[in-house]
Amino acid sequence: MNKQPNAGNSSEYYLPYLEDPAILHTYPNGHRLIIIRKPGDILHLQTNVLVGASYEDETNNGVSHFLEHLMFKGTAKYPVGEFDKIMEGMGARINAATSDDCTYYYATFPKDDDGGNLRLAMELQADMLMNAALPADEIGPEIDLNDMENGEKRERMVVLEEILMGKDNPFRRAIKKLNELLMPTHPYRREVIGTEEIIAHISRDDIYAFYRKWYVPNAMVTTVAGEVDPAEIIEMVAKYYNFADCKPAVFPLLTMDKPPTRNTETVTAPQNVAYILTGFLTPPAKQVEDTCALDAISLILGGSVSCRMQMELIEKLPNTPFIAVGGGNYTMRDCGRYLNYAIVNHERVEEAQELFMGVLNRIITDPPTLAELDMAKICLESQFATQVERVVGMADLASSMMVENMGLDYVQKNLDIIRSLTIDDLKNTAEKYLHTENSCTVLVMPGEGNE
Amino acid sequence: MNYEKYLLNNGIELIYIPAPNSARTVISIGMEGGRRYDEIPGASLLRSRLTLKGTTTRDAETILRELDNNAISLSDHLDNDYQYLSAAFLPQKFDIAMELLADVFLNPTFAEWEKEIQQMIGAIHASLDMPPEIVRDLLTRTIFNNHPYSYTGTKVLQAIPKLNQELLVSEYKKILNERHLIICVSGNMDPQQLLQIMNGYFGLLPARSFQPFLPAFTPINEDIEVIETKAEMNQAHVIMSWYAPKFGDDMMVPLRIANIILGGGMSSRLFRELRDKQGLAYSIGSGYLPYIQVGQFAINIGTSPTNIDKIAPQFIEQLQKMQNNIVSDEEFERAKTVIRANHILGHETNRNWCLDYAHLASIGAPLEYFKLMLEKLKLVTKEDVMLAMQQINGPSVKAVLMPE
Repeated sequence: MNKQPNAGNSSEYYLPYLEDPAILHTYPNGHRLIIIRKPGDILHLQTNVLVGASYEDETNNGVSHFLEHLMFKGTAKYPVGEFDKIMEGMGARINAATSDDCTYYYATFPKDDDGGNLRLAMELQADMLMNAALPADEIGPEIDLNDMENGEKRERMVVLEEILMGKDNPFRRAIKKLNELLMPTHPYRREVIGTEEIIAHISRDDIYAFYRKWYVPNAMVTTVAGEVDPAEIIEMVAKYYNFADCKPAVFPLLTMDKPPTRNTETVTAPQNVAYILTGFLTPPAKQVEDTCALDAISLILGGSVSCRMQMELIEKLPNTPFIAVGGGNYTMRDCGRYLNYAIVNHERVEEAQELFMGVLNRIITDPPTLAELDMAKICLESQFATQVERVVGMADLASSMMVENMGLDYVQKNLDIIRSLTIDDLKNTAEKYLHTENSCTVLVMPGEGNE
Repeated sequence: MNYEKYLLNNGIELIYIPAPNSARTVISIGMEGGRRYDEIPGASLLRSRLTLKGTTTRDAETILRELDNNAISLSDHLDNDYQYLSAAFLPQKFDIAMELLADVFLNPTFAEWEKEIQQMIGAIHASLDMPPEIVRDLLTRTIFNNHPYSYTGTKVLQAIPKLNQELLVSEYKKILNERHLIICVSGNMDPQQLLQIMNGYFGLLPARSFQPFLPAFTPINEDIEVIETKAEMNQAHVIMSWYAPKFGDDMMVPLRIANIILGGGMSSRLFRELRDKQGLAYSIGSGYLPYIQVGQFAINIGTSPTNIDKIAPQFIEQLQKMQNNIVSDEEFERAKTVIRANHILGHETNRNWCLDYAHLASIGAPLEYFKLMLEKLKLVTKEDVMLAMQQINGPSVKAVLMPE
């Protein structure tokens, strides 16, 4: 532990595949900074704001995402358009994204000799996060959803267009319905992008209040990855992320839903093929012993080229109704979702569903073998090696540890747990979370839309 | 990136890219091929899908299990003008990865072709459930007319009865025995030892030379509008496209600059005008694809169906502004910086370099391509950018997907 008076506390964490330790620095105001030293020509700057759709309610669902769009609409110092021009003018790839648990803003750009790119990127990004103007004329007036052709169209309409785009994606429809079934009371049930009704009408005042409530130092984690000098970065962040007095965010504790009882719903939409999507409720990300075991199970069951689903439903099944299968274990702060999906010939859905559920069920009755466990371990290790090849991958990994209420030590901890997994661990975890009686399934079938 | 070039006994090039600190080793085999070489739509796609489906000594299950048991990521990439087979793995798995890669490359049987055709049909139907793919398919098969570049999912579905194992085998024999090949390896290895290993696997193949196949192409000669409808869609999709300078053309670099200024980012003209100012879309942009025989320039948008009539005139207006006016200094310098930065950001890993070298060599481009491109970039003027944009002046295709 290296104490730096007046500037906060720094701790070092050795991350796999990196020679120099990463540094987690916490400033007195609660703003956290992760520095990942990775040799190379590329720098990455990312700030995760610890607010996403899970801290919204029925009246403002979608506000985190709408705000993410509006953050790019200028500040007093850099009017609308300047941020994009200056950042892209240094060759930066810039963007932002919103999830259930956070909203993040990033820039990836080439390292220059005098560090000017990083200073400028940081100044701009910090200014955007602290001083967003959210101009009313950029937000645009309320929109009458029954008369969208008329009226002034600004960013409000851009987000409505994004909602419309998502509604035309059959897989997204399935995920939406499945979340509602798996988590009937937790805010994770709602779509991050929100509803058309709320986006069409939410006021600038409500958006601004949300911004001021959450864009505060103790709700921010900034990550800098690349070949950098930590002391310089700690000083630079202190200089640019110079928050005015603001009230610290208070993070609500949300109650998780109980595991559901088996349930299947059918959604119809005009399409060529059918989709089967089955999910289970799993523990919060912080329960790493369970989530690592579920990661391994997901590779054995549906997430690798030789997984059971691929072998039993496609490779070994003559005249198979299955077009593609897959799955994964998706962790989040309050709970996770274990998902498996299949794309199938719509004329043979019943048969396909029975076969699909049969394979899922056999993860309990026919637990993973040693060979499967070994396969999962080496694949997870390799996935890790792949992710940390890039500064973006490393930054994503480290920042997700903070977003999901863990800590940087969990990067190595995850890897250690994966390496020590036993067949019993997988068996016990499957029995705990993956009983088909606790699964929810959504079928998306060709037909006239019923959503 | 530094590379070392070696020749196998039969003249096949081996490119070694030292990457001493990389967590993974990568091997790519670049092949002269791609959709352009297809006599029947879908032949190369089906062949590509069968890459892991069996060799003379391994069935699909064995291959897939060996890949996972050794955490080897092995995939085939197919494009209009090239194809490569690539394996990425932890360095300690080199021997098994090399042996597997060589086996699937040298000894495929295509025995599972009938089953894979059914899978391919399903996959195409699934992709054609996605509106952006439906409109791209419509545009591509229209603008490339009778040329294999037009072999989209829809055209492949129509040609299914003509696909068979005999066709796949005879076509693959050409790749093994006649067509240009290149092998790229990136990792931490002794190059001489690597050369010896590669000679053991590939050094006995016949010598070959690069003889690109350029099938006949009849361009469209008038503006065409094609419309498809789909029930209950919430958004419409519009793409306008023109022929553009092909790969290697002197105007390629200026047109890349023009494309960035017009529709290549959040500060581009299309993004600022149609999205930020008018709120017409979430997804808007332009793209330039310089293929070997002809290039393609396109502007696309996803928008509310009520906006369809407003879109094309605005596309044309923005295009004409670029054709009739010199771009600003600021836009010009920004676009050049973006190209230089993309070169760096796009080559962060040894895998990126390995795949790019396989790609370049498989289309007959020099490995110094990136260096030459960056040198050309310095010489481009704002007038060149306007001239390049003026080449987007031939017949256009406007493809529209809208609700029924």
